[in-house]
Amino acid sequence: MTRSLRFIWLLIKMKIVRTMAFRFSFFGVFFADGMLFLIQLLTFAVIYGQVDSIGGWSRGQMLIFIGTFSMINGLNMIIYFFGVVEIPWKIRDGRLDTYLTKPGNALLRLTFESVNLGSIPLLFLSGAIIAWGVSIEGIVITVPLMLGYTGMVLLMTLLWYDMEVILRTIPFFVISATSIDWLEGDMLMLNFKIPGVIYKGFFRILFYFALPYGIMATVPTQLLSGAMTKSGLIHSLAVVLVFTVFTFWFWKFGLKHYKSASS
Amino acid sequence: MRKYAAVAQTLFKAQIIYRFDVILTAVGTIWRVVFAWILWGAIFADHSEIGGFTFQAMLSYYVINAFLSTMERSHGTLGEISNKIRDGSFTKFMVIPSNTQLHFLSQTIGASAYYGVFAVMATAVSMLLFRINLTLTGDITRILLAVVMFLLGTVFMNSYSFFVGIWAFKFQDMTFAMHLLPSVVSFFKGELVPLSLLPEVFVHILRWFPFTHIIYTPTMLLTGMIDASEGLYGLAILCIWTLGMFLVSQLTYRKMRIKYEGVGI
Repeated sequence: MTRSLRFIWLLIKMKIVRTMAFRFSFFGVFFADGMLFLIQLLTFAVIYGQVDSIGGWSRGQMLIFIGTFSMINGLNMIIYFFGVVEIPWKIRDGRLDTYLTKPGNALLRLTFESVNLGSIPLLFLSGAIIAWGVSIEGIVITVPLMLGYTGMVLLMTLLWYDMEVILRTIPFFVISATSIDWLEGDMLMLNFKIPGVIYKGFFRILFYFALPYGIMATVPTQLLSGAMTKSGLIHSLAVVLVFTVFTFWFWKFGLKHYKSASS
Repeated sequence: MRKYAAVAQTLFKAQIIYRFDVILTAVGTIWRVVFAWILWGAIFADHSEIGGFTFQAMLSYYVINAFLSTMERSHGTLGEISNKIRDGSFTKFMVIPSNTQLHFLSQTIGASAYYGVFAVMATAVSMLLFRINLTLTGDITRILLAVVMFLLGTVFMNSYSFFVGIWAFKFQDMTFAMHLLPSVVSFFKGELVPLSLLPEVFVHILRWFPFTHIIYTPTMLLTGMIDASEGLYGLAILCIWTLGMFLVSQLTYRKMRIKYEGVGI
């Protein structure tokens, strides 16, 4: 464990050194994603100018939802996105060889080698949006509630990671990677605009069980606003557990099918 | 003129190579309708009318908006220009005997025509899947105005993308602009939510800007939500902006092109 942590710290330091060479783009992700979330706030402000609730959710809950999604996305951008997103291309052109022949866990290295510290301001922006939602809702923040919410956000960040790795393990079998980015992009954009509580029928099954993007920001929001049910909590924890176990099994299974294009 | 027609034709044919991307874009059109169907379905469960829209009118707005957005392909121009300047392949546009901006406009028109075929199919599928009774105006003046505005809007967007893209002569890395601008422009084009739902003061301010009249105003004209006089006003504004943006981008290009380093020559 200590060895892995030291290894992760070393990867982060190396990435910081590389990033300093491209200072102009350092905060690029923050501005691009930050703007996306501000536009989303504007969109819902327009809708809430016409109605009092959407699918039973008030304006405050929607703000917490947007802030939570932004927070999970920020953590994703800071920690693992830029490493994981490259996996299909590394499978395709054989660059994965380098990771497999080096000592240490290849997935661990891929996950932490491209941390993006320029996205850190996204966390502050997200925190401000959540605080705004909390004040509108009149939620009294207690230590257990704060800890529960933080824990749930971290679990959902892990679930996001699981989904990213699962989708990017598929190229071990099919080589093509274009559709992976497209599929993930469209699913995320849809679920980033629609809280999970609105889904009914087919879409509820799809986004709560098969591709659980629908619960990622919804469940922490429900927890913070006191709308969480016991069965909802159990379902979320079970989904994270099942998807995490599956992710690591699927990655190992995919590695067995690696064709090493360059050698 | 013939050479630009040839460029448009070539780009139309070239899209066949990227047919998978075209199909994904068409599916993306359906996703936009899915979004509207789910979100507005939940909202209209408690309301019969919002901001003058019934549920069917709202879905019609998104179907037409998604159709026009799929056909408008100029956003690729920004990325293509800045990448080509960066990797040195822009050199060919400096040596061939054609106006670079018009060349890119022809490319956009060619690609748009091809995407249009799939946009029609995606729209038909969306209507069938979600049982949408498309609310369309029967007024020929409004339809003509919408078509002209959309075409002029494509020219404007191409000039705008060209203008932003050529700043790569000076700054090299335009990734920042490529990621930042689309979400802002998308909102002002009314792709996320009908702009008529905004407070009146904002609607009045937005009427002076071009982005509103590229997709949003034609969509509102086609759904019969605004009258022809509003369309004429939008057309006049769009004409002024298109001419202005074309001239500004031409002048900027002349000034910037001397900074080109021609990587790899």
